Amino acid sequence: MDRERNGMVEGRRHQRGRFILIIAALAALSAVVFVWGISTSQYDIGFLEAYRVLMDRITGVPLDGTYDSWMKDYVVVELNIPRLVGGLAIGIVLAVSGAIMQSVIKNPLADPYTTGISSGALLGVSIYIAMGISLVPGLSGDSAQMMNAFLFSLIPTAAIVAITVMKRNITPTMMILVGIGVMYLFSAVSSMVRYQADPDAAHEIFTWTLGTLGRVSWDNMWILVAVSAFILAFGIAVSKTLNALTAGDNLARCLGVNVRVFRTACLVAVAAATGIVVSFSGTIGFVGLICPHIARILVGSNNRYVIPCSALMGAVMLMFTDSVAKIIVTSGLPVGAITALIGSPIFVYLLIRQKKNIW
Amino acid sequence: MNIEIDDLSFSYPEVNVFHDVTIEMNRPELYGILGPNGVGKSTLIHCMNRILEPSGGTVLIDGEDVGGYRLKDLAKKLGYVPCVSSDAFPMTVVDTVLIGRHPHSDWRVTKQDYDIVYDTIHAMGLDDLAMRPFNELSAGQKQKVMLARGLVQQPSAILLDEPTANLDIRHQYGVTKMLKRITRERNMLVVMVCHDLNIASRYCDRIILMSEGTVYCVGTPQEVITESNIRHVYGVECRVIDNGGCPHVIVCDDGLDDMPEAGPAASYEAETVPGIHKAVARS
Repeated sequence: MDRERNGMVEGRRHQRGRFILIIAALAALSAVVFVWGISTSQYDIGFLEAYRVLMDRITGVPLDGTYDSWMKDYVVVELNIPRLVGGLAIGIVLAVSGAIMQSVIKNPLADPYTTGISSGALLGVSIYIAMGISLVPGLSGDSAQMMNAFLFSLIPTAAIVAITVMKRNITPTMMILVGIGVMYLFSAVSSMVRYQADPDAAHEIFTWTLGTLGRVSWDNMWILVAVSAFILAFGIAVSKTLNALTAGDNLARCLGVNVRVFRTACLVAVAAATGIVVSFSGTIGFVGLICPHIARILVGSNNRYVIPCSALMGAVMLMFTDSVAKIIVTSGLPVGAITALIGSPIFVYLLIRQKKNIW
Repeated sequence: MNIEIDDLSFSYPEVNVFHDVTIEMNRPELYGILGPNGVGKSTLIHCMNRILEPSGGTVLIDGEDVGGYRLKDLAKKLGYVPCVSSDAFPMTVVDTVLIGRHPHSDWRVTKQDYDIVYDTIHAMGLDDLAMRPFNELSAGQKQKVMLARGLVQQPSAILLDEPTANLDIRHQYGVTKMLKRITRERNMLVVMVCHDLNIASRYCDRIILMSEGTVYCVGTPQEVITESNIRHVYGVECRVIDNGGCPHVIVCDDGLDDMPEAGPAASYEAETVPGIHKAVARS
């Protein structure tokens, strides 16, 4: 075998090893953030103390009856753990969905909300909070709000899929434009609803748009875990076909990919997963847009690496910023804002510093 | 490998691109499709590999209608090298070439897939570029990488849409010579859309000359590249001289000032015409 060929084989092996190392490091980092996040709160709970509280709960040691011990037990076990699990799962869903959307739509500005999912969800939430209308009869409170958000979030994607079926030669750009059209329509209706609503309701709607992990609890976090497992498995399963798609629709078709069916399948999977996430958390922007790009800076554009790397980036980013949010903001709410606040400068820095010409 | 195109036609809602195209290609040779801008050369190729649905007629590959193939099965028979590359999220050269293995493998990439990719990259002398991002390559290197991607697909025939566009003379001749070699070494039928009459006449075994939305004539370069054919098809006066057994076209630029209107489908193809400009010589 020739020397040049060996060099090439070695080069790829070396690169592969480096990428796996980067992904392993990110996995380790997310574990560290998770471990750290259990103790973070606006209350005075030490790192080791948090684990003592957790161990007491697991081993069934009864509380000593003081308010202080009750409060610490509640914060660590009932608040922090579900929020961390929620951050992990929602981060994975948003980042993987973003990576899939960017490849499928071939647009670096695409994110999980590109097709109008967030505006749909916002309208669902708005009509429940301001007018008390629940799409699923008999529901009330958070569950009614979440159900409304989920069902409305699917409408824009359903519109795009319907148009794809009717008009066979729809391009990705047209998909984005349809999404934007629907988004403006829904936003306009939401604004009108909010304008008519009383100030308290309007404020509540506004709070929802900021994004929070506060609604995640032991009871419902399993849904998020299941959704994140699904979208991660889906993303890894389609990564090879996503690679084929980067060579252009025509070539992908000549390689045996039914591009229209594949694109629609990806769109539906992302919409369903993101719709569920949005109904829990409200619109958390940034993660879905940025994590895939940071992943590409780290491991290149091969989707086999981009998907897992994005997933871990999203998990780390959301768990970390929510933990920071818990410490610095008394109400602990706007994780969406803090994510962008911390993430944007890091992202711009990485973008300017990197030498490769990825976009 | 046997490609039979029978009475094929294609039209967009507003325009008729080509009609009554009947060609048979049945030997592992280099076929060149020539003709003026907008005559439907690329569209013809797209109808052969199902990127477009023809409006009428049939394309048979090994006796079976292309429409009856599963896309993956067709991909194992017919490779495609597009004219321009998409630069959305470019990968390394190895990963880009590896895409060509898609029809042969499921989710897993096997050692055999990688071996084929390495061997092909090596055979084309691209080893040094293997780990470079595709978008950082020169036009000639990109063309070779796209050709490598088509070859690792291991089809029996490969269709190329203007493989020499945007290349300098050396690469134009180099790439076309490589195509000719492939037909012999790999027993592969190669069809290329080409604009350079002299390159086509030098390397193609057979030339399909298209004019006014249909096939004008098919034959060896000696049969097709003649002064009268070129005058009729391109509206260009020229002299055809013998260059070591191949016809060589020298264009006379008299009357080139009043260019004829572009063909009906000209707007669908942004084509460059390197061949004509290069061969212009004042006589």
